[in-house]
Amino acid sequence: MRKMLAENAKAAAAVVAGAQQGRDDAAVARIAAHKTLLETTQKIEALSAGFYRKHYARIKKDHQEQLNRRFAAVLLEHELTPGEVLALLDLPEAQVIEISRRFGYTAWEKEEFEAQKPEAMHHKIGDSYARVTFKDEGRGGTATFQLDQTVCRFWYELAGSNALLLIDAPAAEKWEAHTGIPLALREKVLHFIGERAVADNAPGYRYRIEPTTIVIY
Amino acid sequence: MDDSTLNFHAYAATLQQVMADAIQKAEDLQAEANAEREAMFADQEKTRDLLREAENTAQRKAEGDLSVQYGELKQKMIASLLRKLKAAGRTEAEIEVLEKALSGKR
Repeated sequence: MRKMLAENAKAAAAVVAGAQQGRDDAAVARIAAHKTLLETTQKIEALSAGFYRKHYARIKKDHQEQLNRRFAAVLLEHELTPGEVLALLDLPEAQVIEISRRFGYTAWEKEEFEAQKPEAMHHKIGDSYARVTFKDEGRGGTATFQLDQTVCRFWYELAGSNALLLIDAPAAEKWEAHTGIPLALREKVLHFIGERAVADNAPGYRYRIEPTTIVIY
Repeated sequence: MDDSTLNFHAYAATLQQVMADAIQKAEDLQAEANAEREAMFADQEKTRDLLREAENTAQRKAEGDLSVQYGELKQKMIASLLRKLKAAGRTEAEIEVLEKALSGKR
């Protein structure tokens, strides 16, 4: 019986000890939380200054990026090339490409052109970009192809019943003299113009390359 | 009632009392632990409020200050850009047109 009393007392002590441990742990946590509160209160000015610096830097960066994006659009609108914009503004290349797309530019594989005509790439630091714009002048107009600093124009006119539009393409033997672009790139440039003409101005139509014409039909 | 029955009752009463005292003590300690936790939660909440308020105030101040400085920042960035354009060989006439466009004066 004495042994059972001892065991009972031991079990009761364990119940109390567990509760005591829980209470002690809670007290330690409360003391730590209070200490943190006091420290935070004491350091609140320094913390506020840190918050201010963080937000100031973030908002200023946002403003700079916003302004740079606006400037990029203005420069592209004033016929500067994406390569020039990239060199002038502190903007990631991906953003310049994204903004340039709004002005009709498409990334162009630079190695091919750069290797053959390095002087044309003088101002370029990133990839090359090409675009085609169309200016209507009555029943015809001008398609302007631009690849970085190189600009060349092609006359186009409305076609008869079998097609929508005919864009003049200089014959192979006159190509380099007319465009300043290596003959090796002629096919690629003509396909680019045809693709953009359909995509930008004649959705649903197709194009084909003939010896001296791009036919939109 | 004989002696053995008396002893059994005393034994049972002792067991019950010891355990009842222990449970009461444990409940008191648990109540104290709950009070400690409540105090901890309150302090943690005060700390969070303090930090939140400080951060909100700092953010509003930074927004206000930069809103005032926005025009100045824009002009500085335009000036820097125009210097780069000039260095790149753009003519004065071209730079004048671009300056107007960048400033939004067109």
